[in-house]
Amino acid sequence: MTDVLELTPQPAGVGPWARSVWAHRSVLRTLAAKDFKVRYKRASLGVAWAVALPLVQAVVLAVVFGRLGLDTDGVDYLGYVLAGVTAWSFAALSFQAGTTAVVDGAALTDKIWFPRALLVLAPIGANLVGLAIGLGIVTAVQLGRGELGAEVLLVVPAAALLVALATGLSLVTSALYVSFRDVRFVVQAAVLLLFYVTPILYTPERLGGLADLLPLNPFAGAVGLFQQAFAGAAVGLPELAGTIVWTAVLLVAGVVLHQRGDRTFVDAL
Amino acid sequence: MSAVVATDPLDGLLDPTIPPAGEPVIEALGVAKRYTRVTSRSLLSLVSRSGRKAPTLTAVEGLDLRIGRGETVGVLGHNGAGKTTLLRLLAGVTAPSAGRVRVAGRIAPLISIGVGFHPELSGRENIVVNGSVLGLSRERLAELTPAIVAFSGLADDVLDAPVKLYSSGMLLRLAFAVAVHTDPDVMLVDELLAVGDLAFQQRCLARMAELRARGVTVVLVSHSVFTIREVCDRAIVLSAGRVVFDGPAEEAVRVHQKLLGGDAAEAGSEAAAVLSDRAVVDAGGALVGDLVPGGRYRLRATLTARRELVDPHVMFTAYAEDGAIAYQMLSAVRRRHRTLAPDERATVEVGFTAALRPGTYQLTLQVLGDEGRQVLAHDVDGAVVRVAGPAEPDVSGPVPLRLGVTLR
Repeated sequence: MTDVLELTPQPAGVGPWARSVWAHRSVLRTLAAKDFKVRYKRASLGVAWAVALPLVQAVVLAVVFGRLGLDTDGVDYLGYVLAGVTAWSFAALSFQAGTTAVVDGAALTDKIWFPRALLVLAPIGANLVGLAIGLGIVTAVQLGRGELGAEVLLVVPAAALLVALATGLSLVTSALYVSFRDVRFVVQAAVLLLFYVTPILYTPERLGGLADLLPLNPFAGAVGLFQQAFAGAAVGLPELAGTIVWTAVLLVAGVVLHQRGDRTFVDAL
Repeated sequence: MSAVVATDPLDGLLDPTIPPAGEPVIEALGVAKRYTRVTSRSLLSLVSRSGRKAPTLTAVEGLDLRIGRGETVGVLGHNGAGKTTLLRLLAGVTAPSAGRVRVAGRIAPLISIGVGFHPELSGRENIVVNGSVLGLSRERLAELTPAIVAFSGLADDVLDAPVKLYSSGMLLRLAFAVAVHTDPDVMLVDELLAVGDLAFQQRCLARMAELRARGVTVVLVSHSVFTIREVCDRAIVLSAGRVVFDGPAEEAVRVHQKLLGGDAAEAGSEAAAVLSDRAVVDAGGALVGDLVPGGRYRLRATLTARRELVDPHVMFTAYAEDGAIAYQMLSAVRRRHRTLAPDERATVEVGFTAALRPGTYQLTLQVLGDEGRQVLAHDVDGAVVRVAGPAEPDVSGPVPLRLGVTLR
């Protein structure tokens, strides 16, 4: 008899909330696996699409940008774009799916309780498979071209930082989306905008004086770390610090919002 | 409050994990739940604070409830009386607006069927998702899957098909099979036995009895007074979010039906008239309990007027097993404009044809005055009759339509 449910109008607090998330971790695994399975369920090629799509993307990028001969300030441009686009795809998909996760999961949460944050984490978990496949392709391409150095090990902290950032962002926006349905479109617009203000198709040097504003973009440092790992383009420390601060702030805000709304989100669905 | 926890004195000695007698498994103290009526909120409302308070809707108010280990408690009430909100509070889905809820033990909420089922996934895959959401570990699920499959009675090829192809009965079987295998301490059941064929319903009831014998606490919301009578020893009646009765199931059913029937007949002594000696008789006048489909019968009762009754009308209602109204009619009494003097007795007779599908039905009478607007007397208990006939596993509902389906 260890399970005791105690409910009062006040939320239980961050400690008990965190413990409940941990206690339900197997639900996260199941939900993420479900997300992934459902995505490819009715396609005759099934999970093969998970590999095929990033592969097509890599080929397109290689053909288009490999031949444009842009001035890339001495950086391996193909590797740079591949790494940036792969990281960005994961972040954008996770951010958008995470934002609507609590509302979309209404049918699931209407009758059964588990920490609602798991709904947000599940699509991010499912997208990790796509990120791993994408990074595998980038690694293979760079290895084949002899452009891979020891810096590739940076991919580990880069991925950790990006996942943490996507999680923090999604926790905040998913909680807001429950009450404010405009958030979804704000997020869509933000993703569209952020793709262009983040150095993905261009290097930060191209921005000139505007590069000083990059630390304000939460994604600049995280994506930059991927580009350093695969293309040797050293990420600026201000950008990296910016991403870390953003991530920490968003995670704290996300946790606070979710532990507060955990048992009341459902009332607004 | 009468809270009979264990009828067998040895019951508590067998399992060392049992909490001391008298300690409630479910406890609600001064619980209220108010929903804010969501008027489309926009981001702009954050900026422009227009000090208006959003209108609220009170679903539950001032609710106190203590349920001991192993009790099976029914919850009755009109639609909107707060039954589902109560279950949602006990399931921990939503926090109370006031008061405190405490539930000790693992909770299996069967509030609705197939929570977390995804239409594209197969039955087997959905067992994993549903079981996991209900709190089973992967290892435990792997162990339990054969038992779950066996209980559901679904064939292997069915289990491998996506559940979007399932009938509602098949979904229910699967959902119930998972839920009863989650090893719960507390089971919350909402209207679930209304679906599915008779044989499966019996299996569900048997399984619930088994769980109950093991000390599982069950809270059962149902419109079916039959289910409440059969399964529960205690029941509460909710009305407008408050507990208006808490006690023996039999009495609760009566209170519930009084509420359904209107308020005039509520206070027995003040009633304008009394219905008594109700019976169902066949064409020959013999008392019957089992009806032959299509047979002609009469529902008869004695009406005693307490005051003058001017032009009384009679309302006949047949309730199906799930509490739904199978047939209801406000009579045209043959000899109209009859008036009964105080203390005068009369016999009310309603002839009817048992054009019903096999099952249990409850037949009730009401006497109304003022052109049918005022309830003068209400035979709340009604006559419970069985319509005999072979079981039809794929059919439900009270009306025998005798379908013929062709595909050209």
